[in-house]
Amino acid sequence: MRALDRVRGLLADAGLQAGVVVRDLDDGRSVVLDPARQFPCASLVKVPLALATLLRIHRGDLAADDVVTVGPPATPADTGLGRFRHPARIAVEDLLELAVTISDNVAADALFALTPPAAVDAELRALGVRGVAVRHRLADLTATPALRVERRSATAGEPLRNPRRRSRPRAVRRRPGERRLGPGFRGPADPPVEATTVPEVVARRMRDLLGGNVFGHRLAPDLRTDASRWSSKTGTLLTLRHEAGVVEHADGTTVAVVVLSASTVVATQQPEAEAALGRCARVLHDALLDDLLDGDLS
Amino acid sequence: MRRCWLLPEDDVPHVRDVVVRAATAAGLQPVQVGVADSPVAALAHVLDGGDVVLATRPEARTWRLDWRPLAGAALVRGLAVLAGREEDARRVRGEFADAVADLWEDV
Repeated sequence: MRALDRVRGLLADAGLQAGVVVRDLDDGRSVVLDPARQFPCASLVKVPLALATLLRIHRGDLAADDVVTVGPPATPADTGLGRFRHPARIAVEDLLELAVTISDNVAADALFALTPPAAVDAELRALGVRGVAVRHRLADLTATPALRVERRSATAGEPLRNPRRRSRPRAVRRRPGERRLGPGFRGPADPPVEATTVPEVVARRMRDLLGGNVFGHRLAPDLRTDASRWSSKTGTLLTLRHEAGVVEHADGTTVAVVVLSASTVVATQQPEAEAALGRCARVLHDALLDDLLDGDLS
Repeated sequence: MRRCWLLPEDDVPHVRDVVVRAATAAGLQPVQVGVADSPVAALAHVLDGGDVVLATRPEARTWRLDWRPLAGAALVRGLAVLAGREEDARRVRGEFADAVADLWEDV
């Protein structure tokens, strides 16, 4: 299948190993590349964390306007509260904004303090989502030996990734009027799991958060236009470059795109790799919609 | 880089401007939408370069090209009727309009 061959070539040229799922959320047709490959999900964990938090707010277990005091962090993190030098008082639902739209690790851990990883994991199970395991907070993940190494040194990109948080490529569905969270995807032979419903108001809030993602350097350049809204979460850690989201076209076509990748190149900044991931997502997205798959979707 | 070609007869505001607007919204660069010098030139771009041409389904059938409707933009071609006698032109535009339109569709 030409599109998949082309994608394999693009990934190989860029020194990337990736798992990709592209799924039309209306008819369920999908294109996949290495869907069974597992990766630590890095910041993608903030998606189930946000979803679990929103569900608990919806049920009345948490108050959205409950104000918590956060920081300053003992170990600075990359964005937002992680860079603050003074304590901040923030409402729970505003922590969600920070955690999802700017990938704020400190905000995420403040949310994990309210809903521990095991509880987030349980919410996913209850929704029927498999293939994603939530076990650790962000601070646990970032306190790995590799990050103590000077960032610019050649060993900064060594694959000393924390093996304890894993996820497979999965399609996550959130649409107005469509309440179900999409199946955890485990492989072409496994049927998707029908899930219990996510309340409409929660789904809408989730889409709104993902729509506010400020990181647009990976898949966004290839998927976002005036005529197509791209809502997503990125995840970047050591050699891992992920992004999972939903593109909604002006004509109503809605496609979930999940790209999980690991680089064999030991550089922290890899603009060509980012571009290659975007190109791969676009090629498979177009192949799915153009129905150029010769009847074989894998 | 793939381009979308308009046939010369579609180089009119109610077609060209709609296409350009839709192309811009879809993220295409200005250079990616052009008016071909002739239908033959447009076909050459498609067959040689992997470009696309804006055409009707009957035209695509005639040229043996795969065809898909344009998403998000409703485009129509207007046709003027010329006849030796204005009376005849008026009847084609009036009483026979539907029949002629059906004929045109099958061309």
